[in-house]
Amino acid sequence: MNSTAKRNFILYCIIAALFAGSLAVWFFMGRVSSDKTIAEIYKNGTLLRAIDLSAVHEEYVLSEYTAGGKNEVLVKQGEIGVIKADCPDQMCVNTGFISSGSFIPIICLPNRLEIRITGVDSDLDAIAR
Amino acid sequence: MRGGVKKLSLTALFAVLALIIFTVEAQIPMPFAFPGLKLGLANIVTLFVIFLGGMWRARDVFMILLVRVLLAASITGQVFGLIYSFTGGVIALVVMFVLKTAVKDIPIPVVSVAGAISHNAGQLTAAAVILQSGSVFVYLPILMAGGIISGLLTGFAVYCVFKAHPKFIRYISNL
Repeated sequence: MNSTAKRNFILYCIIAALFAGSLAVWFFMGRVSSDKTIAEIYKNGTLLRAIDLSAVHEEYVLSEYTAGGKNEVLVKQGEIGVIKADCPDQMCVNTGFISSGSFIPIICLPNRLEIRITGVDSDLDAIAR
Repeated sequence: MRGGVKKLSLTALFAVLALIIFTVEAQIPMPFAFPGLKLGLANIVTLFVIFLGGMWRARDVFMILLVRVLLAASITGQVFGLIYSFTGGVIALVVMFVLKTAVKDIPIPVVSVAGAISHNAGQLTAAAVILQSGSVFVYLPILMAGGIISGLLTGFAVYCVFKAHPKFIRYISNL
């Protein structure tokens, strides 16, 4: 093997290692879960509401208005998801419902809305102040 | 400027080709609904022109990318997506061009993978800035894994084109 071939072989090995590593991190992240299910809704990076999903008994729809448009959020026991959005890409709707153990946030980029699940009770007042 | 008109026409053709690939790809349903996870087949054109060398400079690739991204946004109506597709595209372009210039005889798929990863990282950074929240980076590992696969595929496709049509490549690279 000449030096270029050897170098290229090393480059491909690095790529293979990166692939294995990123997959490992992805599956490791999926295993993190907690006992409490708090959904946090952020608008423009600031916390708007924190809902304890385990305490929801009757499902309801929240309408979140932003400068970009409107998102309808369905809150169910243990689950939260965007059911309607007026943006063209519908990424937030396609994400579906997230629940306890979901490490993927629901994101609506055009409306700058983000919903994520945390295990810890966040002090909304402290943040709002 | 010698070959100016020919080169200009070819540049336009490349942009249209990238747009067609982009549009066709958008019709392919993806089994995984992760935002930003896609094949990125339009990168075949960008990669091809980067490796053409000769008369073709970074400026030309940038123009092809700009035309493709602008037209794609106007066709799909996702004007908002422009911000991140453009950020990702430009970062990937710079990374790929620097790699190709700095490392002699670097394999095309390696450059392609580096471009795909930097494209995804750039898009996520743009999204994080827009959202003012770093939580989008949880997508980085899956986007990186996807980028490596699609990068290898597109890189191999470009390699095949260069291998199959050496005469044609020599002709258009020195228009």
